[in-house]
Amino acid sequence: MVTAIQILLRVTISILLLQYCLGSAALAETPNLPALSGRVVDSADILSDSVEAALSAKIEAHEKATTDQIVVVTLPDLMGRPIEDWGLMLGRSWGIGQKGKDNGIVFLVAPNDREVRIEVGYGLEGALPDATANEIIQSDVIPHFKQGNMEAGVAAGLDAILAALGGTYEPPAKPNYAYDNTHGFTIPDAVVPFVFFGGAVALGLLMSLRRRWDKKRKRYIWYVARSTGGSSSGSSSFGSSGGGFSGGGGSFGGGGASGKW
Amino acid sequence: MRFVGLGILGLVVVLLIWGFTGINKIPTHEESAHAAWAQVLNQYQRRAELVPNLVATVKGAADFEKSTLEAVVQARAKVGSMQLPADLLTNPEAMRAFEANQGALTSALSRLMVVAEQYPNLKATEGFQTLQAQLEGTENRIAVARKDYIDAVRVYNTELKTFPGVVWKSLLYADREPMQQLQVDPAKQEVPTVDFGTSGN
Repeated sequence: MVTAIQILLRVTISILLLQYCLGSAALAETPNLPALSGRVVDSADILSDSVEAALSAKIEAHEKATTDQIVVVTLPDLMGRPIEDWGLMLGRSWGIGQKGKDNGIVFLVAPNDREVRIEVGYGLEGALPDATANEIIQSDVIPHFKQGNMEAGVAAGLDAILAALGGTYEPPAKPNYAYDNTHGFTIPDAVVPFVFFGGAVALGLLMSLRRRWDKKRKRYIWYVARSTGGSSSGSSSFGSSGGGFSGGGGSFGGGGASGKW
Repeated sequence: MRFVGLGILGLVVVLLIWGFTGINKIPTHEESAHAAWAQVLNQYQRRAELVPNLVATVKGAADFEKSTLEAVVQARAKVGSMQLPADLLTNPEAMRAFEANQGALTSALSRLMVVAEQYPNLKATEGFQTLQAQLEGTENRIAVARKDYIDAVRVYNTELKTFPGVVWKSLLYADREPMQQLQVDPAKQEVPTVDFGTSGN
């Protein structure tokens, strides 16, 4: 009888844990994206170290002043997908921009596919509208690219983006268009694993509770049995990598402009 | 026998934990799907508002192909006069009509842009370039909003049909129906071909 119930409980816990693991695995499905190694991610290797450093410094200064997050990304291969997909995937999965403000920009260059895109987060669509992004691509970036001068094109594009943002920048009064899922009672995603593990631990304790008859005090004494056998060792790893720079959790809705040369 | 009591207590604890994390899932996912749908409508609206400007700008170009322009105006009018029933998301018929009307505007607009390639004077004006960038951006936003809605509906419908959710549905949310999934319009996948004898670019 006892073992039957224990087995039942264990099975239930396993199902719960399995379900949680499967759920998070499904959420994490994204194609192999480059790591967010800094504010300039030069995967296509078209920028020299000094230019990279100069671009990073400019972006960092702007971020300190405004909290806007900008990343410059170069990709060696778009793998047959539209550049708009890459802009969105990178921006969202890295979480460029501050959470709630969604003030991120991904400046994406694919030199081998000869495509370029400025992906603009929800919160900056006002400061950097599509037409302006298009203008920057067409008149600041592509002329340099056409001459084969990738570094100059990227640098000019970034300067133009910063100028556009600076010219009309105002502290955002309210987050734009952020999906509002806060109706009703919900448990934040980050807490769910703790709830589960906490529940599992509490159950483990409950299941190992024993009582014995204390002859002196003439009543039952509850105690925790030493070994219940086969307790799970919870090793969870959900920390985002550090490395000096990380996305602030901003989101993107497909704003911006693309160009080819 | 005392272990039986403890076992039942444990089960109750499990159910409580489960309840807290699962009981809100159906309304939460439903709310997400509704929010994603609102964003789809929002972006379609944004596009519809661009059309009059675009038509006016293109009309300014001498001898612009009339039939192309009229197709856009008609498709825009149809989208504008569309009635959206309250049960749009769970009503296959209404959804199909919505998709057909928006799809017609999509093809009319992309055809307009292709035809515009043949008018260098029009293409050179700043007003047209701005509108073109806005239209491209809006089409991309629509694509993103549709993708987000598709994802949200997939999560919601799965929750309604799979194990913990199906219990809560029968207990508390019996009136919830699966939402209609958006189809990827085959016409949208191919670039419209316009034969002018000469190819631009």
